[in-house]
Amino acid sequence: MKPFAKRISRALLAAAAVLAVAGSAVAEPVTIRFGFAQVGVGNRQFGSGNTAAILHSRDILAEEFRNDPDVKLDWSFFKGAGPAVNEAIANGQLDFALQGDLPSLVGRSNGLKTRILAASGLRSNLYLAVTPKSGIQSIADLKGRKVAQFRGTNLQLATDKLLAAHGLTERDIKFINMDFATATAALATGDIDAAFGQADYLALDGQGVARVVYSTRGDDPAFTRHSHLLVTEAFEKAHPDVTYRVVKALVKAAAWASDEANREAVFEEWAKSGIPAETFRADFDGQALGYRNSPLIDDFLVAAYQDQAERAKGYRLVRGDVRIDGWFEPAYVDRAVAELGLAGTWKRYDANGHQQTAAK
Amino acid sequence: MTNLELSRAAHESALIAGNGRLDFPVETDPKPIGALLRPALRPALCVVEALAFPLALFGLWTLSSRLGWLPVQILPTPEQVAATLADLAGSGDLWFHTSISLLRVVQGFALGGTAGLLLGIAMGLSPRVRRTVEPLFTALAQVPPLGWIPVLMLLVGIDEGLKLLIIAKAALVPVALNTQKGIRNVPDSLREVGAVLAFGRWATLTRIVLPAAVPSVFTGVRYGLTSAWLALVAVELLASSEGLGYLMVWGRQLFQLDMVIAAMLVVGLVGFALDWTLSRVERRLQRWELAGS
Amino acid sequence: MADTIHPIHHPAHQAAARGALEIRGLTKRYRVSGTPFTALQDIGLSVAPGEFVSIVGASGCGKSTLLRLIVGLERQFDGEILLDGRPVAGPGLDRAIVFQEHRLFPWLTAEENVALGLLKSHHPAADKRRLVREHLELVGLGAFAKAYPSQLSGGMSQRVAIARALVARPRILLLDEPFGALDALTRSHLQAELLRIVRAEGITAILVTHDVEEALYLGDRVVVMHPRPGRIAGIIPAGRLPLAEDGGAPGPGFGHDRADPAFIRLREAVLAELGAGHAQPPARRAA
Repeated sequence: MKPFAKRISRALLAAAAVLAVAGSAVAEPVTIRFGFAQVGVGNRQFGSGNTAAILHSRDILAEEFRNDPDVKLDWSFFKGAGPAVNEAIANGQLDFALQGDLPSLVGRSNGLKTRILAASGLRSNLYLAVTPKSGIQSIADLKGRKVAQFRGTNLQLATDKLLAAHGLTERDIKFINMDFATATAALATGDIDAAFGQADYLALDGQGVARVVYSTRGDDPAFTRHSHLLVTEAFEKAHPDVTYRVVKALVKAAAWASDEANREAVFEEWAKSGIPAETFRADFDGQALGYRNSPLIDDFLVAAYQDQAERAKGYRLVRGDVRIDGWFEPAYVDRAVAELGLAGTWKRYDANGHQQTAAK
Repeated sequence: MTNLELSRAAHESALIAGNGRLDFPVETDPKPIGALLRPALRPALCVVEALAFPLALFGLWTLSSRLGWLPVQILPTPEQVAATLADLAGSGDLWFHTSISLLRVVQGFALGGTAGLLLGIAMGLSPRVRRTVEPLFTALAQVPPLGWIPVLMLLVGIDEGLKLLIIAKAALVPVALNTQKGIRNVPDSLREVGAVLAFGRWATLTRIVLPAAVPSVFTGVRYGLTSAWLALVAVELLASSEGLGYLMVWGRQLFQLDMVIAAMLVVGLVGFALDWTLSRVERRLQRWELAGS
Repeated sequence: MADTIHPIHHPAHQAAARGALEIRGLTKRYRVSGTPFTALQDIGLSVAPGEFVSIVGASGCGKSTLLRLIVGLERQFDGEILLDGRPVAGPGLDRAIVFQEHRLFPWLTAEENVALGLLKSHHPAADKRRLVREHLELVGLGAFAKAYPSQLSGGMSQRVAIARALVARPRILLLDEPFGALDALTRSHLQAELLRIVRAEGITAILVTHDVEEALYLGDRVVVMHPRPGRIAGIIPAGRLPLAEDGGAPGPGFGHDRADPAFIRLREAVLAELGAGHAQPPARRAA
């Protein structure tokens, strides 16, 4: 009971802070340093597949601070993905980040002081692309094969869970660490038999370079991955007002990206990263935008991270226990949803992934 | 008829100086007394000198972690690194990765070193080979190992073949260049001696050119081993699922910089040990050079 | 080249019958950066078997070139060089040379260096070993067979070089300022030793030197050369000079008595001859 009470009191405290500063203009000069654990094709400075990418590409955050000349925005996109973002946070080079579940858990387990403010992309799918000559048809066929994996990203944890469900471990497969661009090239040259990756593998399938033989679409949602917006504790403490307005802007972006009327527009927006809109169309096929783009921190998200933490420890991806308690700070996002009149836009899910009937 | 000179020889042999140099009495400068003391003190002094910098670095590291100059996530404390090393050693991972890396270096170096030696000898001996091969060789030698990876990947894939070739190439260049240099720099004065003694090509090569080139060849071999070791780490960083370079990638991707530093320490130590071993071999081969100093 | 190999055993008096050098009309031209340059012009010289001839001359008189031609390191020339009636064409084991620097192979021991002199001779291995040992003892370094050149002094190294030159029993020994790099005391030691060794081997010798006293001390004749173009200015016989004595007894290991008035007169004659070829007399340097 005690931690729960503590959580509530902290949430109230944060809410009070939010109320105190809401609406007031920013007084002192501040630069918001925003990092993405992703980069576009050919180093395009755009993200994709999440609401933070919309926040950036549609200038929603810039719009939020249009009348605050003292607030500057600085965007960084990391080819090294989540692990590189962790290094940047440790070096004090970032205030906000879009990051996936595993890298953030790794960062927290190593003592990075961050708060998770909102979800930015839920239930992202994992894809398995294989070379045509490999003859691999299913996860079970991967045993003993040469497979590319971007270690330390949230794909690794999802992959490990998927393998475990098929009675396999990382040791059964010859995993080779490659970033996404290298893996794509290696698939094309046939140097690897298969690669775990993201929706952009669908494009390879279209080109006949590789075949996507498995994706988590339609499979157990437990195999999917999540990403979120986080802030450093230091920044949140120094600028709760700015923090709130960043979250508010993200909620606006999420609302836009969850509106089915914008479905094609969202995919086109993400296509600025160089990944064709067609890929996202296929990836989101049969799923409501709001199911994936909800910013809410609900029981499902917290429970999912709790589960990820335990599994990550089991797979020796993190050392020791990662304390989830006190990491999530839903006050900002809840406040923004209420203030923007967006209550009811997104459904809340319980720890088991079932839709919650009772609100709150 | 030689008896005449035996007394002279006996006289000279009685004058072997304490520092190992045999001297004709009237031809030596008197040695300062300090020179007699130094051989005894030198090893101790060398150890102190060699350790001073690493110790200072270690001190700085400890100090930095105590005072929090750098985030502990970026520069872990020495205790963390030591614990990680012990952990890796205890689980057998350390030996597993080290042995794989060593095997790669030994194989790649054997391949590249041999090729480099042959190429260096050919370029050193034959002006025609030098004219035809050297420009291309020099140009290709400038491309760093990582630059070769995309091309070689297309040719040999990303398996052991790629790693061996990258390592071999890294070793080949310094060995070939230094071998060539050593052969071309054989003093004409010694070549003339060979000519006067009616040496043929083979005798000139084996009795004069190659022995005279040994110091330079060894310089190349040591450089070659160092660059092979560096190339190994680079190639393991890129595409590998085992080895010390991979251990670093793994550590970095999982934000365990203590593992990265532990791997760096092992890489440094193994590299140092390899170089030290070679220098011992070199000293054995060149005992004539040290005999007098 | 097989005909240049000597029998293993050949007493000195037999060897003395061989090693006659005949040089006729020898001219050597170089091109130095396109300009022709005559290093030696019309050299004629006969050296009898067992004779010791010294050559003196200022720098650039071609005296070293002459030795290089005789030993076969330079092959392009006009005229004739005959050793025992056979024309010289390239190096051979019938001729040996000792340079100013010892030119020992630093990676070989003294005995290994000497043994290289026999690499191209066809003796059985056991004979080679014996010859090497004998020649090291001949130069007084029997005890230093296993020493590396870096462990030997300059004088000792030069003795090893002499042993290496002699081990294949050449008919003629050429010496190109062999003691030029040594200090005065060592030099005079080695001069006496050289003479003893040469006499013991019964070998013809040609010594090139800057040092007029050395030339007269060692030589049966002294050839004086003049530069530009290199030519023989005069030949001064010194064979009748009295020998130096050691403890009252003249011996085979001693050259001409430097203190003898006749020696001094000849020295003045050589210096005068040298000076004639020079605008400035080089006499002071030689004395």
